[in-house]
Amino acid sequence: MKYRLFSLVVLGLAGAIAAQLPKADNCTPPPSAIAPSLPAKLLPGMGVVHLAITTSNPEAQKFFDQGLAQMHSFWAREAERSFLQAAALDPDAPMPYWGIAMVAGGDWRPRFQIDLLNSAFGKQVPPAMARARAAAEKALELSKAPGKATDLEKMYIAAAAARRDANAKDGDDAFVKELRVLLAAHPDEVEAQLDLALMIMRGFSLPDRKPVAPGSMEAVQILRNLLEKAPDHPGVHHYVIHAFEGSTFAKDAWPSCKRYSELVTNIPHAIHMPGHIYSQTGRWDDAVKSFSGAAANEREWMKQDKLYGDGHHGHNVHYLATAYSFEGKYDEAVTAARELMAYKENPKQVASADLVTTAHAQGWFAMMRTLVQFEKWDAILDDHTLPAFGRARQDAWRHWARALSQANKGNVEAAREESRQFESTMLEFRNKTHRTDPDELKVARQELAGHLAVASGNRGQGLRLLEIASKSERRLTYTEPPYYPRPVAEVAGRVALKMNKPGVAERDFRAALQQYPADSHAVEGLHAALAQSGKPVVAGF
Amino acid sequence: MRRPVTPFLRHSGTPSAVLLLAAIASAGATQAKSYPVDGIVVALDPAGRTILVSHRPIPKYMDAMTMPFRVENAIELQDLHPGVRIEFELVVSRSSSVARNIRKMAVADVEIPAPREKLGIRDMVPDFQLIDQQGHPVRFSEFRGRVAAVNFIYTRCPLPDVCPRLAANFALLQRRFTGRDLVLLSITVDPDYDTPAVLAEYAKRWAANYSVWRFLTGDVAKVAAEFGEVYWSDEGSIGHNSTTSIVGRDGRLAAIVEGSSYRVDQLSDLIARQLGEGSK
Repeated sequence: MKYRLFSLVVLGLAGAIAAQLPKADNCTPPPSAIAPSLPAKLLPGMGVVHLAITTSNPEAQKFFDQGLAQMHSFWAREAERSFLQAAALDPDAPMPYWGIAMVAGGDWRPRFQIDLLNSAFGKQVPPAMARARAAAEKALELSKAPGKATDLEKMYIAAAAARRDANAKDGDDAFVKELRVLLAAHPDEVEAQLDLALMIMRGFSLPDRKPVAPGSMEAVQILRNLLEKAPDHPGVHHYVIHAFEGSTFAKDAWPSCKRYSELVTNIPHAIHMPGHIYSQTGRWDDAVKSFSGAAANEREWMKQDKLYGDGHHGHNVHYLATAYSFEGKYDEAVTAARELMAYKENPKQVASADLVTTAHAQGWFAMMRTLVQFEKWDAILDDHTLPAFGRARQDAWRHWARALSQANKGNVEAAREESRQFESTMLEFRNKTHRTDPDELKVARQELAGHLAVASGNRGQGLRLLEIASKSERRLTYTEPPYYPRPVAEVAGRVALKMNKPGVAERDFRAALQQYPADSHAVEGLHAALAQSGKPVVAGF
Repeated sequence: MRRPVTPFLRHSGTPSAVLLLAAIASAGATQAKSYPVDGIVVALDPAGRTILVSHRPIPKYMDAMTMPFRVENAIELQDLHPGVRIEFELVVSRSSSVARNIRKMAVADVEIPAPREKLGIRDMVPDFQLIDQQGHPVRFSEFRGRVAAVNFIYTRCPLPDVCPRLAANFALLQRRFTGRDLVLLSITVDPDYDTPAVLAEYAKRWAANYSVWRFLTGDVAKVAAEFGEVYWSDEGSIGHNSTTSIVGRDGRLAAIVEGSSYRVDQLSDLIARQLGEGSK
C-alpha cells in the first residue's frame, strides 16, 4: 500500500466524488475552475524565487517570479494570476504561458498524490486543463519567434508541452523524460531539478515505510543535494517535506519544516504543510502552531475573495482539532471543531448523498473524534454538542458514538438500541449511495461489538473483539487527519487496565503510540499500565 | 429550419393528429411496438389526457418534432408542467398509440432542492428592477405584452456545456424570432464581477441585439429564487443550477426548463406556443 498523505481522500467514495476532483484532496486549494480575472499584485511573503526569462519588461519578470514561487507552494490559483499578469505585461514572452501551462490544470503536486488520484478515480481531465493546454501551445508558438526564448527556456517549454499533449500516452512520464533531457544539457538547473523531484517522488509503503519506486529515493537524493545548493529556495524545503513524509527518515525534514515556514509566510499551504511532518513525528504542539498559523492566514485570504472556497480551511482546521485532541487539549479541539461546524454547506453539497470534505462536515467529524477520544459520554448524548447531521455516513457515526457512550455508562439496552440505529443508518447509506459499507465504519462496527461485550460483563470477549478491531483499524488506508476517530488500541488498553492486565495494556498502548507518536491518551495509558505492573515509568520511553 | 408542429388543444379531442396517424399507419404491424421517447412538455391537456411534447428523434421511428401524445395513465400527468423534460414509452398498435410510463428525467447528478420562493406555472411574475448591459435600469414590467425568456449565466463560467451553451441557445433564438414579440433576459449569478461593462463585452461576444437581448445585473437574489435558480460561491467558481423560464405576454410564468441539455428547438417550441405560433 502506498503511503498516503491525503486529507480525507476517501477511496470508498470514488464513484460519488469523482466529479468533484480535485476537491477530493483539500490539502492544497484547488485550481480555479475559471481563469483568474482580477489582476495580480506583488505580494509579500510568497518566498523568493528567480528564473530569468526573456522579456522586455522587468515588471513581467517580477510577476513571473512571483508566480513561480506560488507554484512551488501549490497555490495554483494565485500562481496562474501572477503568470497571467506577466503575460499581460509582455505578451510576446513565452515563459509566462509556460507558467500557466504548469499550474492551471491543478496537477502540480507530488507524483504519489497523482498516482493515488488516478488509482482511485481514473485519469481525470478537469475543465481547467483546457487553459493549461492552450497556454502550452501559446508558449511553444511564442518561443519560435527569433530572440524570444533561450535554448533553456525552449527546453522548459518543451517539457510542459509534452505534459499537456492531449495525445500523450502518459503526459507525466513525457514531462519527466523532457526534464531529464534538459538536465543532461543543464545539470545545475535548480528549477528543473525541483520539477523532476516532484514528478518522480512515488512515496513510501505502509506499514514497512519502504520506497514505492526508485523515484522515491532519487527525489530524496536530488533534494538533499539542493538543500546545500539552494538553501533559501522555498520549493526545495516544501518538496523535502513531501519527499520525506511517510519514510523512516521523516524527522530529517524537520529543518525544512522550520525553514519553509520562515521563507513563505503568506501562503496558507506553506504555513500548514510542516504540520503534517510534525504530527507524523509526534510534535503535536508544533503541528498546532502550523495549523493555527495557516488558519489565521487563510481567514484573511477568505475575507478578500468570495470565490476562495472553504475546503482547504476545513482540512487545515480539522487537522488542528485533531492535533489538539491527540495532544490532550480538549477545549481547544472543541473550539476548532465548532469553528468549522459554523460553516454552511452549499445547496449542492447539502443535496449530496455522501460527502466528507466540506468544512462543515470536517468540523462535525472533528467534534465527534474529540468527544470519543476524550470519552465525553454525556456530551456525545447532548444533541446540541453533537447534532444529527442529516447525511447517512455522519449519522451512522453519531449512532456509533452514542452506542459507545451508552455502553460505557452501563446502559446496555440503550447501547443496543443505538447499535440497531447504526445498522439502519448503514442500510440507508447503502441504499442512497449504492455502495458497500465504508471500511472505517466496518471497523467501527467491530469496535462497537467489543464495547457491548464489555458492557454486558464479558470483558474477556470484549477485549478480544477490541483487539481484532484495532488490527483492522491499523490496516485502513492512511490519511491525514485520520478518518478513524482515534486508535482502537487506546480503548483496548483501557479495558485491559480495568481487567488488571498491565502487560496487555502496555502492548496496546505501545501499538497506539506506534501509530501516533506522542499520542497523549496512549502516553497516559502507558504510564498507568507501567504503574500497574510495578515497572518504573521511565522504562516506557 | 422550423420543426414540424402538430395542432394541440385548440383542436383538443383530436389526438389522432395527422402525423400520429401516419406514424401509426406506418407501424403496419398487428402487434404493438414500443419506442423510447425523450422530450420536453410543451403543453398539457389533463381533460383530454394528452400532452404536447417537443421530442428528440425516436430511433427507428420518427424525426425530432412536436406532437401530441395520448397518455395511458392520467395520474402521470399530475407532476408535469410545460418545460419539464420527460421520457416515456410510445406504444404503437395498428389502431392507436399511447404514452406509457412517463417519467421526469433528472437533469443534474445531484438534485438541488428548489428555493421556497420558486414560482409555480401560471403564477404572476413579480416585478423587479435590475441594470442592463448599457447601465440602464430595467423593470420587468416594461416587457409586459411580449413573451420573455429568462435564463441565468455568469460570464466567467468555464464549463462549455453550461453558461456558454445557454448563451448560444439564446443567440439562436434571437435569430430565429427576429421581429417577433420576444425579449431575452440573461441574468448574471455573479453580479459582483458582472458589471454592466463586463456584460456589455459579453453581449458583444454573442452579437446580442440590445432591443431583443438584455443582460442584467444588480440585486439578483430575489428574482433568481423566484425563477428557481440556485447559486453559490464555490472553490474558484460559482456553482448554480440552470433554469430557463418562459413568461407569457400576460406576465405569468408559462414554462420552466431545467438544465442546459435541452435542444434549442425544444425551447423554440415553448416560445412559439406563447407567441401563438404553435399551430403554424
